[in-house]
Amino acid sequence: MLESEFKEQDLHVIDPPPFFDTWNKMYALVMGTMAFYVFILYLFTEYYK
Amino acid sequence: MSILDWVVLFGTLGFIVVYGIWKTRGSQNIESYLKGDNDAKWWSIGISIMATQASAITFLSTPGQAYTDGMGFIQFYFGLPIAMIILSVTFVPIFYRLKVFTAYEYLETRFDLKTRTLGAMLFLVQRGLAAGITIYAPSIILSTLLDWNLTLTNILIGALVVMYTVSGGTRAVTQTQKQQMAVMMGGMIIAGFMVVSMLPNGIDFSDALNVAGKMGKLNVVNFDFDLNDKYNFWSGITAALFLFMSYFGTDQSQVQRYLTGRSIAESRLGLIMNGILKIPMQFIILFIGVMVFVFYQFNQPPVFFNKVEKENMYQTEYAGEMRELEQQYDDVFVEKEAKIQALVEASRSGDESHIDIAQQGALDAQAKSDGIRNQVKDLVKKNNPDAETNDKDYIFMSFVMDHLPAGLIGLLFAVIFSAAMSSTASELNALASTTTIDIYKRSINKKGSDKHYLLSSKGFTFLWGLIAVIFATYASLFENLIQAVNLLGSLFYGTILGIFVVAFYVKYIKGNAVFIAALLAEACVVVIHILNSKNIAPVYLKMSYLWYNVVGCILVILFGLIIQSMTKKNSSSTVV
Repeated sequence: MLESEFKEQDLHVIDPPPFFDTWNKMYALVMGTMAFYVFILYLFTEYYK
Repeated sequence: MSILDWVVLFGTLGFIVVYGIWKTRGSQNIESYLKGDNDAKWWSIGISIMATQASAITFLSTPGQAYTDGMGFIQFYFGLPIAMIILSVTFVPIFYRLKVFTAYEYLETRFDLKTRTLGAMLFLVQRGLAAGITIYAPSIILSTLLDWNLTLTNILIGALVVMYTVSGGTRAVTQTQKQQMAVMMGGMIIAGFMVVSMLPNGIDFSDALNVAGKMGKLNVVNFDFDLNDKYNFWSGITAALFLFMSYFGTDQSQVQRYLTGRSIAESRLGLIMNGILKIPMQFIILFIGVMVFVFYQFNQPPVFFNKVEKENMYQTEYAGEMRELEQQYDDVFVEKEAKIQALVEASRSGDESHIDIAQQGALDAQAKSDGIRNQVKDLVKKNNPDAETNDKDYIFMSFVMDHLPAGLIGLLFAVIFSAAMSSTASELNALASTTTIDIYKRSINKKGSDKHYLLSSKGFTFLWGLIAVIFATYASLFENLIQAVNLLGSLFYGTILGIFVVAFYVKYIKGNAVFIAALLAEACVVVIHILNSKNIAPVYLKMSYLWYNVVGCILVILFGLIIQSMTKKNSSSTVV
C-alpha cells in the first residue's frame, strides 16, 4: 500500500483518539508545550545569570 | 555498602526479573513474542520508549555533565517533540497498515529486498555492537565503585536481562520497564531531595539556585548559532531532530516499542507522551547534578572522582606530586568556600555591584580549583597513558556512596542497574526480531511453522545476549573499537533516515537509485568524519557529529534524485 493512500481523516474514522476531536489539536498542544518549556527555561537562564 | 543496601539492590533487581518472567508465562506465538499481541496501552508504550532510551550512562553521565558544564545539554532534546509529531503523522500509520514486525519490512514493500536487507544489516551491526557497550559502559564504572570483577558484572547484567527477555519477549520487556522506570525516577527524585536537604545550615534552596546560576551552571538555553557547538537551541531543533527521527523512526529497538500498541492512537499517544515528558525528565536529572555541584561548594569534594585510579596513584612514583596537588586542592576549597559564602551574602543583599564582585571572586576560585583537577588528570595520564581521566561519570555515584544514608545507596545502584537492563532488553528484543523476520524468515528458511519461528526468536535473543556479554567482556581490550561503536550510530543514522524519508515522501525515487544513493551518502559521511577528526576539514565541512545525521539524510535524497533521473534518461534513450 502506498503512502498516498493514508489520509489523516481515514485514521479518525478507524481509530478515534481518546481525548481529542482531531490529532491537529494534539500536535498543537505538543508544540505549545515545547514552546512553553523553551520560554520558561529561557526565563530561568536569564534570571539566574 | 551496608547489608541493607545489598538487600535493597538485589531485592529490587530480583523482583523485576521474577515479575517479568511470571507475568509473561504461558503459551506464546510469534505475534505475541515479538509484538506483545498488540495490547499495550499508550502510557505503557510511552514508559517503554522512555525506559529504552534511558540507559545506565544517562544516569551516570548526565548529572556529571551538569556538574562540570551546566544544564545546556537539555537543548539536545528540544527537537524531540517535533520528531514525535512527524513520526506520529508519517511513520506510525504506515507501519500499522502494513502490519509489519520490523521497520525494515516496509523497505521491501516500497523498494526491494536488497534495500530491506541493507537497512536490517546496518541495524544489526550497529545495534549488536552497541548492546555490548550498553552493558560494558556501566559495568566498568559499577565494578570500580563496588570493587567487583568486571567480567562478573558484565555477566550479571547480561544474565538478568537474558532471563526475562528470552522467556517473555516483547511483553516481558514492556512489563519490566514499568518497574524499572519507577525505580529510576523514584530513586533520582529522592536523591534530589536528599542533596538539597543536605545543604549546610543557613543555605536554603533559593541560595543554592543563586550560587548555581552565578557559577554558570544554569545556562539552560543558548540562542547563539554555532555549527561546532553541540548544544544550543538551533542544533537541538535541527540536527538533534534528525537524530531523533532516525532513532525513533528507523531503529527497531524503538519501533518495536510502539508497534506493541493496541491501535494507532495508542502508539501515537505513547510517542507524544515521550515528547512531552522527556524534557522535564532530563531537566530533573541535570538539576540533580547542579545541586551536587552546589553541595560540593560547601563540602570538600575529592580531587579526582575515580577513587580507584586516585588510590593507584599513591602506589606510584608520582605519589608525592599527587599528595601535594591534593593539599593545594584542599586549600583552594577553603578559599573558594569563603568566596561562595560572600556570593550568597551579596545575592541576598541584592546589590548588583557587590554581586558582580563576589561572582568574579567565586569564578576565579573555581578556575583555580579546576586547574588543579586538570593537573591531577595530567599526572594520571603521565603515570598511565591508557588511563581514563574523564571522571564525570563517577561524580554522581561518588556523592551517593560518600554522603547518602544506608538503603538509599542500594536504591541508587538499583537505578543504574535498572537503566542498564531496560535499554539492553529492548536492544536484544529488537535484534532478535530483525534477525528472525528480516534475515532468517525472509531469506534463509521461509517455510517454518509459527512454533519454529518462536523458538528461533528465543534462540536469537539468547545468542545476541551472549554476543553482547562477550563483546562487553573484551571491550576493554579494544578502546578504539568502543569509540568507533559510539560513533557508529551517528555515522549510520542519517543515511538510514534518508532511505526512509525517500520511501515516505519521494515516490519518484525507486529501489536501485536509493540503494546506490545510500552507499554514496554513507561514504561521504565517513569522509566528512575523517576530515573533522583529523582537523583538516574545510570551513564549510567543519561540524559536530550531530550534523552528520542531517548531511547523511539530505545526501541520500539528493543522490537518489540525480541517480533516478540519470536512470530514466538512460532507459528512455534505450527505448528510443
